[in-house]
Amino acid sequence: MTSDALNKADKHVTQVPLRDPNTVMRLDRMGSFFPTRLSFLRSLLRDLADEERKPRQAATQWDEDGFGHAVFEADLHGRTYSLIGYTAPLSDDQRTDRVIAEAWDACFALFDGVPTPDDIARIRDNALVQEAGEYDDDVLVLSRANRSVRLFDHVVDALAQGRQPDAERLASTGYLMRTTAVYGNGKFGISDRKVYADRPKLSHPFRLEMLTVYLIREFTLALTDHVARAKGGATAVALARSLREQLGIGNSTGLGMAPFLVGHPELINNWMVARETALARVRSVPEASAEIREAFQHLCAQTQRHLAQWSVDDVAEQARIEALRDEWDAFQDFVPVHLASTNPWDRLVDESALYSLDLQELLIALVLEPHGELIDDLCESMEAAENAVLDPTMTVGELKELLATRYSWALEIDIAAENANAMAWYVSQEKLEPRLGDAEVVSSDSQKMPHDLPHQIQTLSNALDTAPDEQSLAEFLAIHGEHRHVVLRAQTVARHPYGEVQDNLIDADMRPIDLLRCKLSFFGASRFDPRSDRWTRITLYQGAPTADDLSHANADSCFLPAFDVQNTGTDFR
Amino acid sequence: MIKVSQNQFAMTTFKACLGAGVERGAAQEMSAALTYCVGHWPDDQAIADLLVCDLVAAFADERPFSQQTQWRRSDDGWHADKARALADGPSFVDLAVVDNASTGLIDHANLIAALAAYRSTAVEKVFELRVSGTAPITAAQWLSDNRAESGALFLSVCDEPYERRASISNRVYVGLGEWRVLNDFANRLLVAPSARTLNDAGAGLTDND
Repeated sequence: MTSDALNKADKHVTQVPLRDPNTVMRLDRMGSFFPTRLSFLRSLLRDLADEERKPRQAATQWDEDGFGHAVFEADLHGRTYSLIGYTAPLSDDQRTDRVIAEAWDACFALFDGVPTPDDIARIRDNALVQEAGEYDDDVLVLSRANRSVRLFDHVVDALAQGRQPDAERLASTGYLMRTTAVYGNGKFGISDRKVYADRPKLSHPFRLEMLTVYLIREFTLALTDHVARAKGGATAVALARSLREQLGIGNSTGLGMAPFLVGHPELINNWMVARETALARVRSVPEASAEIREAFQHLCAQTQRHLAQWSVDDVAEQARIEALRDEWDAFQDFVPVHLASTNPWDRLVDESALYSLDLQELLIALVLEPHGELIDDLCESMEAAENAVLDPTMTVGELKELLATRYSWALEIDIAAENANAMAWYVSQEKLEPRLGDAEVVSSDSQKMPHDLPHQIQTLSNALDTAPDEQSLAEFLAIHGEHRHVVLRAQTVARHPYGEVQDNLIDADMRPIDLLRCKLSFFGASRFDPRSDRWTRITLYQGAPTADDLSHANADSCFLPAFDVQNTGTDFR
Repeated sequence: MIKVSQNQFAMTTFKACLGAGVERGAAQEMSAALTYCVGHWPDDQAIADLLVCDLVAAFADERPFSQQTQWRRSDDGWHADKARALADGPSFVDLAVVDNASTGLIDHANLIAALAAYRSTAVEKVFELRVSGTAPITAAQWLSDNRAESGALFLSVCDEPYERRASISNRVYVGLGEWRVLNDFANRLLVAPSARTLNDAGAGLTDND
C-alpha cells in the first residue's frame, strides 16, 4: 500500500498527503524524533485517568532501610494488575546498568491480578534473579532497577531532616531509580503477550511494560518517603508534590533495542503510519481556534524552557541541543503569523523544512499536541498481528517490480564500498546481548544478524535477473532457498511501506543511537542523554502526574516537561 | 519436561534451526509452523513431543541443510527425490500451493504436515498428505494421528473447507533432553565473549552515580 493510499484510507478527509516513507524512514531523521501524545506512556496515562480507582499502594513490608517488598495495584477496564517490588541490599561493585548484571537494588514482577502472600513469596526468589528464575503466566512483565545513588541519598537525607531536597538537582537528574531492563512477551517463561493482548485497553504496544514503569515510579516515591521517615522519625517530611512530579524513572538502553526495529517491520510501519496520519490530519486543519492558538503558544514557551533545562555530558550531543535551542528561538518568531493564517499547521511544518531535522521533528511533536480529539484514536491502530506468510504465487517479474519501487534506496547503495561492509551485528554469549562490532569479529556468517538488508536485496535482485519473469516464486525459491527470508520481507514491506529503516545498518558511519531514539520516542521517553553512539539514558514519566493526582485534566501534562527549579515546594504531606 | 512460553519456544526453535545450518527463511517458517501447531492442537503436549522429537532427529543428519534437491515438473505436479524437510519443506508446500500438488521422498513427514497446517492459515485451504498406498488425510489429522509412515509423500490441496483453529494453549511442555539439544544448536549463533565483544556493547560498566 502506498502512503497516498494509506492517506485515502484514513476516515478523516485530509488534503495533505502523508510524508513519503523515503523521507521519514531515514536514520538521521528517526534519530531526531521526539515523543508525542501518541506515545505509549501518554495513551496509558489517559486510560488510567479514565479508571474510577487510580493506581494505589497495597500490601507493603519494608524494614527501616526499605528492604522487603511492596505491592502497587492498577486497574484497566475491569481487571487489576499488581506490581510486586522486591528490594534487597546491593554493594556498589554489583551495581551496573549493563544488562549483564546479576543483582539490583530492586526487582519487579507485574502480576496478573492481586497476588496472595503465597504468590508474593513464590515469585520473590525468582524475581530477584530475573533471567535465572522460573515463572508462570501470572507474571506478565519482569524488570529491575538501580537507585540513582547520589540523588536517592540526597533526597532521603533532606526529607529525614525535615526539608525538601534541592529542586535543581532533582530536575537535572530526573529520576531516583533507573531500570536496566523491562521484559515482556514470554521472555524467560513469563506470560506470552497473546495471553492478554485481546483484553480491552491492553492491545497497545508495550502497554503492560509502560504500566510497570509507571508503578515502579510510584514504588520509588513511596520507598523514598518510607526510608526518610524511618531515618528522621517525627522530623521527616514527605517529598513535596511539585517535586514528585519532576521525578520520572530513568532507563539505560543499549543495542538490544536496535534489532527490534529491524525485526518487526509490520509493527514499526503501524507506529509510523499512526504518527504520519496524525500529522496529515493536523496539517489539513483549515484554521486554528483561539483556544488552540493559546494552547500552542503555551506549548512553545514550555518547549523553550524544556530545551533550556535539557543538558547532557556528551559534548557533541550538548552542541546539538544548543543548536536546537537557537533554532527554536528563531523559529518561534514565525509561529504567531502562521497561526493566524489559513492552514496554519501545514504552513508551520512547511516553514520548518528550512531548519534542522531536530527542529522539524520537534515541531511535528508540538503541532500534534493540542489536537487530541483529532488524533488520539490512532493510538488504537499501533499494534500488529505479525503473521506474514510468503506468497509463492507471486512471479519473479512482480517481485522485481516490487524491489524497484519499494527498495530503490537499497539498490542504490554501493555495497562494495569499504565502509559499507565494515560492521556486523551479532549476539554475544554474555547474557545474549546484541553487539555491533567490526565485521571481522564474527567468524561465521550464521552468527551475523541479518541487518545487512541492502546487501540481501541486491543479491536477491541479481538472482532474480537470472530467472524468467513469469516464473513463480515457488519455483524460484525451490532453487534459491537462501532468498526466502528476504523475499518474505519484501512482500511484507510492500503492504507496510514504513516498515523499513532505509539505511545501511552495517556501514562504518551508522549511528545505532538513532534507532534507539526513534523507538524510545514512541515509548514517550524524554531527556535523551546519549553516553556513546550505542547507549543512552532516558527518563520516562518525568512531569507526569503521580497516581494520587492523576485526572483527565492533567493526564497529558508531561509533554516536554519543564520545571521551576527555584521552587522547592511547600506542600509537605 | 520443561515448561516454556510460546515466545521462548518460537525463538529457540528458530535459532536452533539457524544453528543447525538451515537457511534463515526456512528456519523462520519451520519455527512459525511448529509454534502454531503446539498452540492450536487439543493435545499440545503430545504434539510438542512429536514435533520437537522430529526436529531434533532431523538435526542429527550429517548432510547440510542448504537446498540441493532437484525438482522436476510433470503433469501431476512437482516431484523431488531425497528431499529434506528442514531444507525443502517450505518449497514442498509452496509448489503444492501453485500447482496443487507436490511429491517427494522427503524425510520427517510430520514436519511437512506442520508446515502445511501452518500455511493453511495464509491460503485458507486445507492440505492433505498421503504416503504411497494409503488414503490421503488432512495435515491436521496427520498430526493428530501421529503418523510415522515412510515412503514417497504426496501433498496436495483438497476440497475440504478451511476452518480457522482457535488458540488453545500458551504454554509448551518440552522434554528436557530435547530442549537442551535445541539450545545447544541455538547457542552456535553466539559469539564467544572477549574484551572486544564486551567493548562492542558500547555501554558503561558502573551504575554508581
